[in-house]
Amino acid sequence: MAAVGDSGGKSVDLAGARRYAADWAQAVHRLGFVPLSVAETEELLYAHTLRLAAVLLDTEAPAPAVEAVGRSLVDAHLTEPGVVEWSVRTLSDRFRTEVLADAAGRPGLDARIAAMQGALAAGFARALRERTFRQQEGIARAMWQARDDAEQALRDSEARFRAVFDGAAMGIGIAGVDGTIIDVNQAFADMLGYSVDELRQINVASLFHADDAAGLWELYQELIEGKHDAVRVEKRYYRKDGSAVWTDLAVSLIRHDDGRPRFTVAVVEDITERYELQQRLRFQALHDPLTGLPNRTLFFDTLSSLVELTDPPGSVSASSTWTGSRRSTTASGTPSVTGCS
Amino acid sequence: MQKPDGLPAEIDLSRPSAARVYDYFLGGAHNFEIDRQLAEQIAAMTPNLPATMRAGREFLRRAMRTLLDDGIDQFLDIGSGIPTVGNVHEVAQAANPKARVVYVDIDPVAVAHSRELLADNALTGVIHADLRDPERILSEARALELLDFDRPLGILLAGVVHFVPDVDRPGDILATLRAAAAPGSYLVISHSTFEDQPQEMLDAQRLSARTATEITLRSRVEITGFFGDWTIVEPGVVHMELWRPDSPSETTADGPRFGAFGGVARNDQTVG
Repeated sequence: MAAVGDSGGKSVDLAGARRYAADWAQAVHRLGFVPLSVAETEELLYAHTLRLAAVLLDTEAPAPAVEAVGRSLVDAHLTEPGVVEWSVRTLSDRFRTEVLADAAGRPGLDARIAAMQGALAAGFARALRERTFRQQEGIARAMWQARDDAEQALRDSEARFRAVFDGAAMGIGIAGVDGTIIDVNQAFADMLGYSVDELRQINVASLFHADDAAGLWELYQELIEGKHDAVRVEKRYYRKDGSAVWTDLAVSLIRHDDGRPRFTVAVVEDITERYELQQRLRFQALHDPLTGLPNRTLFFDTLSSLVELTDPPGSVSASSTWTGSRRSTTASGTPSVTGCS
Repeated sequence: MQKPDGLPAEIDLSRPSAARVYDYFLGGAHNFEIDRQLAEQIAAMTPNLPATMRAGREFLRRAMRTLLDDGIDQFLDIGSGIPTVGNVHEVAQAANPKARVVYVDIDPVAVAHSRELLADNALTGVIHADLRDPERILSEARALELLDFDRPLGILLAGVVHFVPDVDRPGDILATLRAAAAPGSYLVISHSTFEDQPQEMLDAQRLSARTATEITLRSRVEITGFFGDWTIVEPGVVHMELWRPDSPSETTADGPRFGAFGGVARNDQTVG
């Protein structure tokens, strides 16, 4: 039997201590998660076993040393309640018989063991409480931090959006799928000659007109039904004062997280000047500057288009007039549709 | 749902988080009432789930040991959650103080907590990203300049791939991650399975999965496929507790208790 004596002739059974530590390690691994291997745990607990034995055989007050053992169990993440139960319970039975070489007949041992049990439990409880406070505070702080980050990112995003929205030269309008205008920027309001507040009272539907390009209204309906993600057209609006404004209009659909349509965002560019310039240039190219009458170019242009149409020969059916034909085909442009989920 | 870049997901305090539930099962106090309620509910339905989670953590520790023994000193831990105890950087830096670890998680609270905990550890980094976006993980990991992708590294996917449904093509995700790793690198995966599990366990697990994040149980063959053409080290893709146990006493004679497989593979391809 391997036994060591100390100054008072008291002794610890090292083989017994080893056995006790091995069982202790097995118990804590069975009880909960231990970040150490069984062998590593056993080493740690063997040191504690010897420490406890030394205190038991000593005459000094057990409190500080045994409380430290309880605390170090928590520090090693051996925090399952069952761990302290096992540790306290075995101290009064198998610890004294297995770890002490000569427990029998030792006076005052029961009282000393009881004091050690109290100290072990107290040290464990104190350390566990501190650890719980620390971790609770840590996770709460992390949550506020994550929330602050998210809110900050939202605020930044909102500020970026506001800057783009307010500062854009193009008109931007946001409407619900029911057509209610939720917000428009100043550029949009200026373009149509309304105030921003006036436009917020208006339904998108009232901005559509009978002379819009064919299929425009249907396209918009399909967009808010979620069949398209974006629509781009050239569209004529009527300003509050009744004058017309030609626009390049791009409408995008914003969806809910589950894919349901939520908002439409319209970005509108005033292309009236460009449009009118095009018309003027075309007119000038096709008419005599002096008389304003159709010139040779228009004549041959129209002739060739008539020839193309007369297939088979003899069925001339062109209905266009000299001046009006081009305008009606180019003005409204061809509505284009992008993205369909 | 995809969030626009740079916009973190909403922080919803009324919903439990998988990371905090996991922490609770590991004996941590980094959790809230709502998490503990769900944890207790899960534990009631699947009594061996807490033990499975602990076994998963122990598998990770033993796998780390294998990697460290082979000289791996840099780790990419994806789905790291809340660093409760026995974290990868603790295990790695205990063996090699110069070991570098980059943690990746999708949970903003877990990320914030990890950042605070690791603020003083210059050899660790934390990335907020989704496993379903491996390119982003890799580019952010490169931007941190902690890991050297030209040298062998350990990619750790402990209990996270089963959160990726088939529709998100986990095989492609794994292929992207493997392609980024130099020869000599290791891949560690633990993954829930339906194999060798009693029916009532599977029913309960499906039920429990519905309350938290959806889990896709996969077969051993499917999980083995995630290692691609890398060399799977002994003993192969096995029930976690059977993967290089510390001692025979840690394994059980009465068959697999935990519904998850674990495996480790090495990139044995030569350069070029």
